[in-house]
Amino acid sequence: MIILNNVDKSFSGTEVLKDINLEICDSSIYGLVGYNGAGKTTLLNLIGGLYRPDKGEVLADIGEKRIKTTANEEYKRESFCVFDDPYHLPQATPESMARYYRGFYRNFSPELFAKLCKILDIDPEKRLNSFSKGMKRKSDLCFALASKARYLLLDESFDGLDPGVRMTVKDLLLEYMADTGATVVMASHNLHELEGVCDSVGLLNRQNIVFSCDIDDARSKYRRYRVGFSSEVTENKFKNFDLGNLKCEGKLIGFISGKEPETVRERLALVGDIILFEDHPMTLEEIFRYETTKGGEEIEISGLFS
Amino acid sequence: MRSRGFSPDAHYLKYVVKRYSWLALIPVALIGFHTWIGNLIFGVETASPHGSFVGKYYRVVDTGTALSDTITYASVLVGFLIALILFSFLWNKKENSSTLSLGVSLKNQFLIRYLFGAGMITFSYVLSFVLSYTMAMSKIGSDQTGLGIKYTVIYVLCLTLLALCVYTVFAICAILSGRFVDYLIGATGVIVIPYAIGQILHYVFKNFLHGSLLGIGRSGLVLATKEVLYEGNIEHITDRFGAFTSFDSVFDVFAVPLDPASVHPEELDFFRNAVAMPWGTFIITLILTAALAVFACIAFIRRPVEKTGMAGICPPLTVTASISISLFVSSFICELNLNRFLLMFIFSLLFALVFFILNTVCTAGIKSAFTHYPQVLATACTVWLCVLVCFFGAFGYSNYIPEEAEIEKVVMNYIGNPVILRGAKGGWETMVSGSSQFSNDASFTIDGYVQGLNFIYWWTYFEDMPVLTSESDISKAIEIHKYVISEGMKFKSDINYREPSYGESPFHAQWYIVYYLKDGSRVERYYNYVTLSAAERIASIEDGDAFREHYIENRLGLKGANVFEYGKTSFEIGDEFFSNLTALNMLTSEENYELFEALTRDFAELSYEDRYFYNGKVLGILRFAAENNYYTDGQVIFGFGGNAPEDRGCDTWYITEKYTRTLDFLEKHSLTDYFNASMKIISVETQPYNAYSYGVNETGHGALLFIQSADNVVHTSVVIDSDYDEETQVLSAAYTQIPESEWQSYIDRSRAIAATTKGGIIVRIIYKNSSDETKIIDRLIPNE
Repeated sequence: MIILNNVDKSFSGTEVLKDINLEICDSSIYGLVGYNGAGKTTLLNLIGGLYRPDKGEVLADIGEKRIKTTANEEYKRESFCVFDDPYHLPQATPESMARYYRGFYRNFSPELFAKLCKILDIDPEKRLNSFSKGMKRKSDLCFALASKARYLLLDESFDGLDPGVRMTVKDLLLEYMADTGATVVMASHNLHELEGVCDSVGLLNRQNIVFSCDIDDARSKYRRYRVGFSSEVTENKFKNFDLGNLKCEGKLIGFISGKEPETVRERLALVGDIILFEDHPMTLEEIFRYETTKGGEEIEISGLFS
Repeated sequence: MRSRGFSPDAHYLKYVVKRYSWLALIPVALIGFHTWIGNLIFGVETASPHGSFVGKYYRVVDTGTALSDTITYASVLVGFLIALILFSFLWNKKENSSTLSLGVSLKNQFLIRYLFGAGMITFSYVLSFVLSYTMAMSKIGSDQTGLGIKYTVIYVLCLTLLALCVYTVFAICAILSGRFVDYLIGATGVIVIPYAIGQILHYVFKNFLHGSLLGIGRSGLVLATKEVLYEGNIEHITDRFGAFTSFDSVFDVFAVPLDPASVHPEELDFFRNAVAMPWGTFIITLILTAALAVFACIAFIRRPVEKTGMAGICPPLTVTASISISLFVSSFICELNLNRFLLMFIFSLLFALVFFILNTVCTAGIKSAFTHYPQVLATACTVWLCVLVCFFGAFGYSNYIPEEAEIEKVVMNYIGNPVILRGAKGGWETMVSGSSQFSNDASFTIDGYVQGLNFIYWWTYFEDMPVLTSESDISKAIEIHKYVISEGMKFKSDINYREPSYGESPFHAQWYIVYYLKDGSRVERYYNYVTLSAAERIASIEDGDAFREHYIENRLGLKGANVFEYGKTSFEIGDEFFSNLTALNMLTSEENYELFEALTRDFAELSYEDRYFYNGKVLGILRFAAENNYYTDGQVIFGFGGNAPEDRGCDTWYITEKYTRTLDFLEKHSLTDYFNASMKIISVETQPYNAYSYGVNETGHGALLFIQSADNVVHTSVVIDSDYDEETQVLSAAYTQIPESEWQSYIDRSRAIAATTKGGIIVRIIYKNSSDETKIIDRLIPNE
């Protein structure tokens, strides 16, 4: 388990993360999403033990112990970071990099590495600096998976991968997690990448985790509603209903709510006769957008270019 | 199981070794250049060894100081490069994050890298010196005395430690930096700041306050680290080792202590006793290095990962670096030929410029730098205020002389290349600026005009000067000091070499005075430019007992110290002008010493007027020299002190009637006849010369003016007249023939050794010697 308690982090006086509290369960894949510059990489580096929190602490379970991750070699031997812009030794090949990592990860499996290279179509003897971005990314994922580390920290790891490979990698990650019981933390700004692979997800916005939950729970929790009344309604009538993204058009209203449909219907019936009641599941992207704009003005772009 | 031998630390070490083992080439190449590689190249270039590049190089570094400086700078460069390469990953975001995410503790990562670099330096230094020693042994034979290995071990230990110390400092710079450019500034600052602080103290106190916080004895501007290691005996070792590393000197110098058959036993003993490991400074430097390494380790562990790529050096360092760099540069410029007003002006401009540039670099942008203008202004004002305070004497500090009653003792020294007082007893070797014109037939070029205080009497090192404790000496010192102050602050720009009022113009000389007060404190003052009048007064201090006794003790003490082997020396005697010198081979060793003692005591007892301004006739010359020509070429013979006769191999004494003991000795042995030479004068000619008589060479020191006359004889000259062509350096004025009836008068008058504060005439005497060869002698007769 990874636990962040009241973690603050700022750079040169600029606060990047504030009062972060987060728990990431063992044997799960946790997706960390947020706008560009929201602090995903910073948070990942804090989890990876590279950054020191200004306040608070980052803890991880190693064996029977729960230890601080910051600059802790014991933890680092059990975690593998795949950075957004990864580093390779000069003139290195995947094979030589594997040898390099083999000395730092007790469970690193050269056999597994060879198999992964085959699956992801990597030539282990070729120089890494001659690889494309996607090939480099695949190589890094091979190193990470072959390390059999307990914690995998992946920063924008699907960038540059073609759709076919993405699916393969997702499968590999799921298999990895299932086989090793590892915890995977993936930072990304692309929600589609996380769907279908993450067990839970955290939304990072305005220096904080604004939303963190199991993906299935999130999907079932948030629904988009379309309700028709027998007579015209105005927004004022729904003031106290806590409806997100409310839009009124004559007799019809549209909104988002995290409450159960039955509960919503019961409450709306107090306003007028309901002649239409539809609820639809939301995509992660919609939930993300909803959560990150909650409480703020929705960006009005219609007619911007007219 | 594979995991049984799992050790990330060992793996990291293996990785570092594999990746950076080529670093050994850096120190090997740099140090090798000074030793075996250089020697090898030099040995190959046999056609014109001294004309070759390497030959010239070794000519330059032949003196130990120059060589040790070069090696010190090489050590600095080695430290800079190795720290740069081993710790540059800290400035690369990708590499830094990747490396620090490995399961090796930060402490171990630091230790592995740091110790690897230290190991490379140690290995390379030891290797290069072992090779050097082996090569020298293969040339010389064997190290019979053991001194060679002793020098080598001491030198390797000290130099390696110095390199490690410097490397550690640079490692700290690298760790504290976020970018290469910051490392560059930081590392440059580390190099420049101690040097620049020395410069600041030196120049501010020298130019404005007549003092030196560095202490007079150590006012030389050297790297602080070097200062620590190279003081005392080790300095001496570097001299010898400097010669050792130079191929052409292996036989000349290093072979001396290695071959007991060709070396003076006293010399060998001297080196055996004198050469010792400077344990005190070594241990201090070792502790300092260890402390710096601990600091570097802590800095590495605590270094925030996010610092990588971030600009910024701490503001105090920026200010200090700005002040240091600008003052250093402006001082250097002003030292060439400017005065303090220009120094202030240039410094002000440079300071603003340097500060702005550094700020721009450190804040990664001109815009940010502009926003710091209040800081720039405030710092500039503070700096300028300090300079102004110094300029106006720092509230009396500049002219302070302690009360006589407070003073326990006084020490003063006089160093430089001043005008006319030096070498009153002869000193032809300094007259010709090191390239002797002393030919076999003893026909001097213009000589006899002494310049500067007697450098035998005034020791090069302040520590060697006599201590003045008597009331009369202390009062005299205070009077001299008062006089120097009354003359006002002098600068190079004040020097006018054609100044008619000869005695009023300053020249490039340094006068130091230190008052040791009864309360244990010291007052030190330093005067860079003093007038000739002041120099004359300074010379008057020689008339005290302290100076006399000190001189006699030093000269005659050589025998007691078993350093001066008078049995291997000789005296030569002759007329001042016209005859070859004749060796007094008939004297025994004891008689040699008796003569040496007589000369010493006679000279010590002369009044300073008789030493420097004696207008009477010179009876003849006595030249004291080592027997073996090998030692007469100015090489260090006994390597003692720096002012005793062994330093030059010979002294020429102008014997006047004041040398009573010497004359008694000569008469007792019927040797005075050698003073009377026979010659046939062909003509006597004259031409005038100006009082101010010496030029300034490019280094800014007073230098003798060389004039190529029509007969193609290079004269070292004190001559400047209206017809002197500065471009061609040819004295075009014709000589005036003197009627034969006046020849003797001119010759007699020219036999004086008096210095002059006035102009005069050059007397050119053309004569035929005993071999019927035509010879020319130029002498000076100062105006009455």
